[in-house]
Amino acid sequence: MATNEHGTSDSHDETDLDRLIGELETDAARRRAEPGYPHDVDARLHFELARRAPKAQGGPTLTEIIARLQELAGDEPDVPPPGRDGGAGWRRHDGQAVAQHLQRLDGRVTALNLATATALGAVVQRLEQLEGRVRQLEPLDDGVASSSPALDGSEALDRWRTRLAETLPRHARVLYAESQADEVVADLRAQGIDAYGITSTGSRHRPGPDVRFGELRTHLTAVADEALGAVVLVGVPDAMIAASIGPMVGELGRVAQSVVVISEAPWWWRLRVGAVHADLAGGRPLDPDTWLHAFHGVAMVGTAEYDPTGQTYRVVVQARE
Amino acid sequence: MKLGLVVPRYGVDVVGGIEHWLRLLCEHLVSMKGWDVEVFTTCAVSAATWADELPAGDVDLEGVTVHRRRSVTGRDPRSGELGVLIGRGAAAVPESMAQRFVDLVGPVCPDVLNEAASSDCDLVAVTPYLFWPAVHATPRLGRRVIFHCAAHDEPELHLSIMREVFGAVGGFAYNSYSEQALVERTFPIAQLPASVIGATVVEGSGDPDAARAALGLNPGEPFVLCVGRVERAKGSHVLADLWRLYRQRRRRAPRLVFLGPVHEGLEGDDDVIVAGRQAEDVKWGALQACEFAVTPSAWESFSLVVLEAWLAGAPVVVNRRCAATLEHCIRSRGGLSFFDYADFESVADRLLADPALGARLVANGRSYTERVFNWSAIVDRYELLADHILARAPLRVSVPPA
Repeated sequence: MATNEHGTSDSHDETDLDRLIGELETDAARRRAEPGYPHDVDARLHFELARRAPKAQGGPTLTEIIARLQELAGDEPDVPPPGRDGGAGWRRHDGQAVAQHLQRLDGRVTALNLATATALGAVVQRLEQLEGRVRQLEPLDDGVASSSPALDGSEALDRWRTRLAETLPRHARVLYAESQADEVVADLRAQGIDAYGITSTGSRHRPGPDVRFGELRTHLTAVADEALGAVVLVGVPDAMIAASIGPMVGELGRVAQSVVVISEAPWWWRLRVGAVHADLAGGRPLDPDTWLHAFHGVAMVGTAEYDPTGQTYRVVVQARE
Repeated sequence: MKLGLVVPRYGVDVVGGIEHWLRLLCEHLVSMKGWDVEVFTTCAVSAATWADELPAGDVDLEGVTVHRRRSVTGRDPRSGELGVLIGRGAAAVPESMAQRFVDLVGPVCPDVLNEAASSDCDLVAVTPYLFWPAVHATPRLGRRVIFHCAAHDEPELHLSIMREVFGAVGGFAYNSYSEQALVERTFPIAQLPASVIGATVVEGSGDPDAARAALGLNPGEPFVLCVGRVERAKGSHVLADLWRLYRQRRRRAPRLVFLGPVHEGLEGDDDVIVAGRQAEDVKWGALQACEFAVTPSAWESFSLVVLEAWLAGAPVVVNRRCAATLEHCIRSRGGLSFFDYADFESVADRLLADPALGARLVANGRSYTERVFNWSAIVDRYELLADHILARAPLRVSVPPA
């Protein structure tokens, strides 16, 4: 039985176990459909298990909220009986009854609104939790094209590696994403920079503090405002989809004092991978002006610089004072 | 390196997951890394009261210097009433009420914090997040803190005051990736150094026959085992009901044995044996002898029992609602899980009918436990995390007490 360096099994029996779990789930579904299956006891036990399980913020369950909604929606306030034609006194009585009825209706509508808002809030919260858990199990594409040798940033990194540290602060936290993150973060730390990295390749179980597994954008959403001295992007920008730049830059502007983007130049990338691959690619390197323009939108300004061959560039932006 | 530890209770008599685990970690940091370790704690043994049971003063325990100081107050029963209110919507609880709740939960021990703050420790480990010492220590000790938060997705975690508690620390030592994901979903702290340290177990020995006798089983009788505190929150009672239903439908199924202190009464019957607290050798003998071990709790932040079961050769079944135990099963590919009765029945049928499958699962689980959670790997991970925290901005700035 083989295991990788982090102790996660990579053995041939992974497939067997996946198949076993699938078989067990199918088997369980079959049992639930059998005549004589104890649905009533199962429902009670299911309720007990759910009751003794984490429930974020301890709020009511969706079922409880929906039950309350149904209760409110189905509960008709008493309609006042039609008044008899008995003169001014009766008309006054009718008017009071209608006013009270409208008041009750108004109260019901308000309660229904509140319950609906609570229900929707609970659904949104539950979806966010699920998204978080799904991200844990299966990282999202997050606007970055699937890894390809042509898009891993290694060429650009090679050109700028010796100059990587020169624009980085010495006394602030630096996030590096993501090309060859293990080696680069070790280099930066050896130069006295408080760096850590993130990568979406390799083992997802990285126990140490140097490099974590995950998606950059997801990680940035969990970082405090202005908590990072700098973020360095190598590899990520080579595979950006235009629509994902705005949200990414927005998060970068929120968390970082400065951002360094190292990427291949689009013309070189197109020449290198060929027109067909370039045209069909899910993501592509951007022009440095596009980065400068995007960062300008979050009050970060800076410059772009090409390497002597013009094949790669570096953009460095900083938050305006 | 000189490490401090702020913890509500400490000592060989303290039976509690995170406290027990940190005592072992401190002892191994002393013996394997040559660190100086000082513990700042109260005189309490019981988390139910935090009553001063041990003498105040300084003692040496296995090379660790322990400073025990008396608490001003212990756990106030009124904390339970406030806890119910908090359970209805923690995020909306006013800060003053949250502080009041923490004071009532206790143990209120300013002397412990004062000593930790004025100590010359390079870093101070603090645990767990929801008691008075941690709530007051992290803002005060700031970036010197390695936070062993031991977080669960429970209402208290969502109290507004926790944002400052978690945001102030130097870095995080997590028990699992799922705990890390939970904390990072809840607080904006992902930029801080963090490491999944985990915990470890040392394989014990026991005699299956002697264990059967101690548990009230017949010689050679097959059984299924649940190790841990018997209480509703741990899922013990619902597991008993699951097993009773299983035995109704499978007349020849073995009996289920609960082994561990009984905190909330659970009646034994023909299907279920409640054996209570037992000696360690009985536990290990039982783990070796059982058909499989079930961990029904959805509230574990690590679960040493899962690892112990694999080391003893027992297949493991966990509650799929528990992120930490499910993580062990997925990472190791050594355990199975259930969500409802149909799953449970399917898994139990399969494990009882196919010992070879159980053996294969155990081999995976054992390999995972030995590789990831051995002391050498753990103290190395801890040292690396400490280096990261120390390498950051000046740490010896501490905020004076409010």
